[in-house]
Amino acid sequence: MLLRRFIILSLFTVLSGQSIHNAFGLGLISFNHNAASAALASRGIIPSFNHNVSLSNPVTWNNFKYAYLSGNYNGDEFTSDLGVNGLSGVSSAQFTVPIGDKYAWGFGLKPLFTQQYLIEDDPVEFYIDDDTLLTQRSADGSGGISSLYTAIRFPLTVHEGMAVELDVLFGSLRKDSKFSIDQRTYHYFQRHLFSGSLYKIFLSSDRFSRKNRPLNIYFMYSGAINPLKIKHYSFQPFEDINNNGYYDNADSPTPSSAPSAEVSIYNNVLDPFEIGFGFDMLMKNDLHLMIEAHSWNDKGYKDKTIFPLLSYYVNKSQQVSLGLAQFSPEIAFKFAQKIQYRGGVYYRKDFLEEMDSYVNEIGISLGIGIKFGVANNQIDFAYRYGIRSSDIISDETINHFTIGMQLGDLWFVKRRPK
Amino acid sequence: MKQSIKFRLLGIGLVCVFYASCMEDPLKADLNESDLNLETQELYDIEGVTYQVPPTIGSKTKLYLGSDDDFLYKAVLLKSSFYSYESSAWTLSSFLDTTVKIDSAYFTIRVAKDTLEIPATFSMYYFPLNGLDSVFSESQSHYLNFTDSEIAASEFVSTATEESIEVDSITTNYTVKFPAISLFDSTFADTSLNYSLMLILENGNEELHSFYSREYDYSNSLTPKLEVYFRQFTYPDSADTSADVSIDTLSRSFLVSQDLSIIVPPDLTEQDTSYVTISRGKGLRSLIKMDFLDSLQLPKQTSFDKAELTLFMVPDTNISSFSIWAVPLNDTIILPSFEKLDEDDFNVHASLFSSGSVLDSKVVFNIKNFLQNQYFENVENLGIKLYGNINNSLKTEVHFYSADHDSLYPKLFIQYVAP
Repeated sequence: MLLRRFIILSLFTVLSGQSIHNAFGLGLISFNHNAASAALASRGIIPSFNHNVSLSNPVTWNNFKYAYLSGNYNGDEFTSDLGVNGLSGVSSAQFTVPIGDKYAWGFGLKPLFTQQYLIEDDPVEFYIDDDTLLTQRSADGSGGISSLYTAIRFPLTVHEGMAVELDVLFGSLRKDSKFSIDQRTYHYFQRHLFSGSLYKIFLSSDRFSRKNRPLNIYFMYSGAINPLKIKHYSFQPFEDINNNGYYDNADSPTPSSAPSAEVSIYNNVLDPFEIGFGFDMLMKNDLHLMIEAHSWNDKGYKDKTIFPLLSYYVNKSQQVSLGLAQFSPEIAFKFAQKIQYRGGVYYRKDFLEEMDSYVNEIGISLGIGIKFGVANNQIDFAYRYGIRSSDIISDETINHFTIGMQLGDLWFVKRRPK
Repeated sequence: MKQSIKFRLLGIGLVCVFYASCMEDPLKADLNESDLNLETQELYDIEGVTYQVPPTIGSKTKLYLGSDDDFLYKAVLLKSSFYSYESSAWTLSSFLDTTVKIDSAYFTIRVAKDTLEIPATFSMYYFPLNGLDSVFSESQSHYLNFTDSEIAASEFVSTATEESIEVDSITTNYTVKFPAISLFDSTFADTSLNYSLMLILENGNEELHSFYSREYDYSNSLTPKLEVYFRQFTYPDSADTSADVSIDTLSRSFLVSQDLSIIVPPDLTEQDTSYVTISRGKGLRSLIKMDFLDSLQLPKQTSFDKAELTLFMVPDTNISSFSIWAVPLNDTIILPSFEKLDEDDFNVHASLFSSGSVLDSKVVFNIKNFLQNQYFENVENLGIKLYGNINNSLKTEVHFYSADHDSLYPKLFIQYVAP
């Protein structure tokens, strides 16, 4: 019982740690939300969960045989000259249900941006007349933007399908900027409340084939319905006289004398545009060769007054990946037949805001999925190793681990009376 | 069961992997242009003007009679407590009861000196014609509202001369013990009167005589007091007072609850009125005006780290230690130049006071609280009142340069952080 509580608590706890990019702007956008996609180094378009099914691509959800409740948890470890940091948390929770063979519906929750950082600057000497002050700045923040989404899939033609997804963005960020002057420490608390909405359109076609082997093509496009808006709360900076990290009556100025927080609204902070293609070709022995390409671009305006750390913000990200997957047959009796094997390589290029510079990331991924139960429940594991390099930041290595659990059941099926 | 153990082991393993790999190393980045910045400014055009109010020295630890240089201490006023120190059941009016017979009564005040050369003689008076609490106020009475006419309205009680009492072979106490039994024949002990006493020096004022006041020692051993020695009679039959029963001789003491020396300051010098001057004995105080604060442009959400108001002392003043209080005004006061005022009834923001001591020919006040609250618009910028600490020597005055000096004018240094 104790162990179960400990695991549950861990699942909902995001630990402190970060890549350098997590601290800048809105943070580093998350493109991988489930273990099956991560194992193929995919951003979710190509079928990674099973034959012709991707958990992240609603246009494939009609190929589910069961309704699925799925949850994924991931952990990242970033290693660089700056140290070793980690970031872990729930990466998605989703419910999908096929409606007949041509329709499907689902909804879920996933983090889009996660910020969990602690940054320090070097001490700086500040000269005033004959006096020398030793000052140092640091900032820590935690929070992020999540997406509550729903999607529906419907057919366009016999071979083509389409899905529309609506994402409602929400979340908050708490930020504490510290400024030490000799032995005195000032805190400046800020809070961001995020709101906005996105749409995504997915298309698929199974019209094509190559040497009698099916070649499925996928396409996605997304944009903003309401670009992200930030309600920014700026609290009065104070000297933390009792050094407890909280604003209380021992501090200066006292909370009772200070005015309430200043509230400002910032519009069009995140205005993303994304386009993606995927190809899934069936090879021999249920082996799938998949190729995926993505381009994501944020055209939003980030005011420097609330985003002083903007220079390393990734405002454009492009990725190509190549994956191989061997899925288990629909009906499998032996344990070996119930295992699905996945692997991939990827190349990603992140462009940084205001720096006219970019970061290259190259990596490999591996994973397996194990089916169990009569409803083809599945547990998936994925591991990805990447190297991130740039002229302007320290090289980083990334160890990414994801675990996903999918539980299936029959919905909307008329059962026979006993 | 076996499968359950496998899953548990798997869970423990995963959690350990996550926790082991997640550490909290701060990243390094240039935060020079982020969020909070430190700024400083040095501000001038600080005007100062001196004013004089009658000196009130009620909270001093000593009481004085006589002359000290040009300062004259013309009277000591004391107010006895109505309730006795030993038992609140015994009051001054208890001695009006016919069952009480006073054997002796004295008003005792301890002399603050080490040797007794020529014993001085003092007289004690009371005020039978004044009502309750109408003779003096420890915090408000001074030589302009307690004049010779008030002194003339008093009634003589007794005279007494300084005497020495040997406590042991080393310690000798000096005291003045006024016979006071006549007070209980009068209306002094009546509940409707004022219980106020006055001491004056009987023969000339050339010398300064000092006494311990009630503020000197809160153990009350040196507090001036009225002592009454008496017998109380009880009657087995209240209707028959001829067969009385005597009990032991008792004593009760009544400590003073207020005491005050009336000081008459000397004439002012030109320096006193032309500079920013602080003197407790002369009743000199000053107003500091910083009108530029109302138009000072500061960033939003500024928090003051330092706000130091510095005044530079006129060098011919020889000061060893002098402490000054600075407190923001809550009243609008217009004083274009030096003025004599009957009283200082200007309201202040007492919670925002600060103090500074004269050191290296200057005094520095930390007025951060005032500036922060003025910036928040919690208080108005109506000026700062400067006045001497109660522990300063009454004879000492300090002079500071005002804005017209070419280099040693008052300065305000502010250091603040702001987003």
